[in-house]
Amino acid sequence: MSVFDKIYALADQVEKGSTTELDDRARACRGTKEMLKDTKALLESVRVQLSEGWHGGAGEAALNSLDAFKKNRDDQAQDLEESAKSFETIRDALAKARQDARSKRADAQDLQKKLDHGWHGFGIRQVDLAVAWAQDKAVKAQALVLLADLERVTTTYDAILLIEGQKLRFRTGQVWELAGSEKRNLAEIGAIMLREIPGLAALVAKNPELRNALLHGEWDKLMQNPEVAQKIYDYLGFKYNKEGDFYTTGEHSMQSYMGWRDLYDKLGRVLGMKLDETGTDGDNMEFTDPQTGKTYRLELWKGKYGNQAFGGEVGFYTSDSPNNNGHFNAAQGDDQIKVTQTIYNKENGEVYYTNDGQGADGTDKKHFWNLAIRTDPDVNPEQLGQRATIEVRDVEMRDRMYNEMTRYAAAHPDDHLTVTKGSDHPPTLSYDWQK
Amino acid sequence: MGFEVDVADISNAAAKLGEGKPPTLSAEGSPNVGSTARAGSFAGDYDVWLATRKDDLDAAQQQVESLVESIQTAAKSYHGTDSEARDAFLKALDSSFERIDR
Repeated sequence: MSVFDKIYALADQVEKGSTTELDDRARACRGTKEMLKDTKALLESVRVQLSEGWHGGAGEAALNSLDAFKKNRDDQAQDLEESAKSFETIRDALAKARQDARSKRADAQDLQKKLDHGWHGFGIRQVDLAVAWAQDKAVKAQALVLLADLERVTTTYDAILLIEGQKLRFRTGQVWELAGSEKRNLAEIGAIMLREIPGLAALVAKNPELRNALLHGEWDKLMQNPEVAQKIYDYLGFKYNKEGDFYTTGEHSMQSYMGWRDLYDKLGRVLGMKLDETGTDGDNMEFTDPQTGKTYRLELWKGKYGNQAFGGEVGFYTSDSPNNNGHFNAAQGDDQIKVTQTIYNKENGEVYYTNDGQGADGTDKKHFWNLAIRTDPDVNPEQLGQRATIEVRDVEMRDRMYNEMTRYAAAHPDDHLTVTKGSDHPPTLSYDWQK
Repeated sequence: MGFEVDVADISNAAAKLGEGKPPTLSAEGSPNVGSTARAGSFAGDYDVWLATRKDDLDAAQQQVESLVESIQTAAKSYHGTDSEARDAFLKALDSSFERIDR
């Protein structure tokens, strides 16, 4: 490749960039910033209304929360403003680099013409040869200077891309610190986990192997350490049931968990969760009460929770209407169900453990979620079966649930789900899921 | 009597919040920053940024939904005839708001 080819190729690298696209990104940031201001104003109006009814004592925490939510919006808006500035900095750097590249390209084209001209008509006299040779060397030297200049232009531009790119990359979420964790590199997630999960840093500091595993995102290795597994389960809101040797979850810790649904899903993936679940093809077990329009969804999970643990879950959710775009809430009040879930080995029938409603508030054992996970690396998740008895508030609801589960089972023969009706007093049904 | 009006006002403000347009980010894939040595890595930085912003906006929306739901649930269970109702209502908001991530 000649020196001129190199100059043109280098100029191409910046000339092809689009300042318009960078402008668009900055504009998008500012558009979102305006929307955040609107949400903040709506939050403020809730705060004002609430403060009118508050006269000290109760309500103070709610007002503080609303202030915190407003601050979240300010932080997000500020974040987007800074992001917009990064895009504009890159846009300006690109515009400058493009301008410089165009000018160097024009200079190079002139030089190249000179070079061609210098050799034109060569071959008649000795002296022509000498002049042409001298001109050739002079022009090529100038071209090398141009190339060096252009290299400086692209290196400077690259430095801006590096600095602003890093600024953009290292912005964490403002409402949710682990936002973007699927795309973040594993060491970044590790650093955030160290900061977020109480006691994990001290544990990891004592053990260089664990630190190494965390920095390299070797979640399986981390979860093999029972103390680390305990801390992570605690963080996700799980409670240990000593009697049955399994983790379950309380109703209220799960309220906060619900907000962390995405975190759970994402951490679930990095922690090596591999679960069978109902509804993966979009066909969920859902039924509607024709009197009220209230719609119910039952979901089942079972399988591997990291390399160290196995178990299952039964979740029950409600929505005020069937037209809910898939948005359900955790069942509350008398919609809650009483579940006795057993995790067993479907090949030899061995029962591993049973959660008879642990984790529920009070003594009624009614919950929206029956979860039971045991840490034991030697159990093969492929062999897991789940069976459960579900008690609901009345026979009508039981029958609707039974009909829906039967429909689902017939539509998904690979799930190997069998459902049987139990007693009417109390209204129960049982199922066995051997997927 | 006075507090019943307050509950209705709080509930209305929450409904307006619930009807508000959730902030979204219209930015798409990585902008064309040319093809210099650093351009590829910048695209990676951008992808992380975009995914993080979108997830964070989703989390903010979840926050709003939980907030609206908490108020509406508390408002539904408010019985103005009960002399303790005002405190019970405010306490319900105290505890449920605290469970919302921020």
